[in-house]
Amino acid sequence: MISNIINMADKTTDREDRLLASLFAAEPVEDDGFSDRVLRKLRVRIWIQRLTLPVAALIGFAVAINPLMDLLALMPSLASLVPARFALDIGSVLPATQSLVIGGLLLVAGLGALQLLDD
Amino acid sequence: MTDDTLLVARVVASQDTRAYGELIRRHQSQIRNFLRRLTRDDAMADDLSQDTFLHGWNKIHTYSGKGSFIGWLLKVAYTTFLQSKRKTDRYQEVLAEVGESGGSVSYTTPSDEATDLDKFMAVLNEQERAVMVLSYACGLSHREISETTELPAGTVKSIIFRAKDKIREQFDIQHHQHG
Repeated sequence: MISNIINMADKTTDREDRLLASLFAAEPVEDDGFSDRVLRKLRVRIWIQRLTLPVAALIGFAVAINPLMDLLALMPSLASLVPARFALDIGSVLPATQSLVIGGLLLVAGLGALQLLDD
Repeated sequence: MTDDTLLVARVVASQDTRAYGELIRRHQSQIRNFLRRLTRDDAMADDLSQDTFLHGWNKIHTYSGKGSFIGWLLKVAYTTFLQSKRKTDRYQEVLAEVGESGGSVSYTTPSDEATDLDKFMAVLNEQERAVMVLSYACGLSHREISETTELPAGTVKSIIFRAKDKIREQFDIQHHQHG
């Protein structure tokens, strides 16, 4: 492709400059699949970038699942160690199930709205 | 023909690889020629051109629309070239430290079959070469070269003046033909 950005205003046009310009001039380079190769590489990179987070999350989950299950299995025995009065106090501090459901719905609706705005 | 800026907008807005492909097809020749002139090695220049377009994809949101897109792309290409050269220079230093030979990568040594242009380029330093190529091969104005190389416009003019002086000193350029 011939350059469409030549701005001759800043250039002097004496003989030496013309000679240098002819020496530096180059034939246009044929594409020969170059653009397709770059695009292929680019698409692979985009996919790798897209997959990185989910794959990392999956690996993290796989690593964490065993200790988490062990902890959950221990919970009943740990609960018996907590004094009954303390457990009652905790119950009064935690929000009611209804509040939790409403909060969750609001969170989902908010995320959905953000996604719509993003699109 | 769709304007470059429109294609850039599509890339930025929706990560449109087809629009970027069109930009690559439009400008690959100029970028490859620029890097071929700088490196004087077609294969290395094509590798650097590929890196230029890959870097360009990641940085395209920084193109403000001020100035031509090819000017911006040439800047990415020049930065890519400098980074690669720094790495190569460091590699050569390490090889020299451990007493190995310099390897086969060379950005400056002209071959036996060097053209007139190769000989001209050999007397210039890296910065002078880049500025001369941008001016005479890519046809950029002094202002555009200044933006591409991040050098003040006055410095660009004096580099061109100095480079021409060097060429004049070393060669009778009136008798050289296109090589």
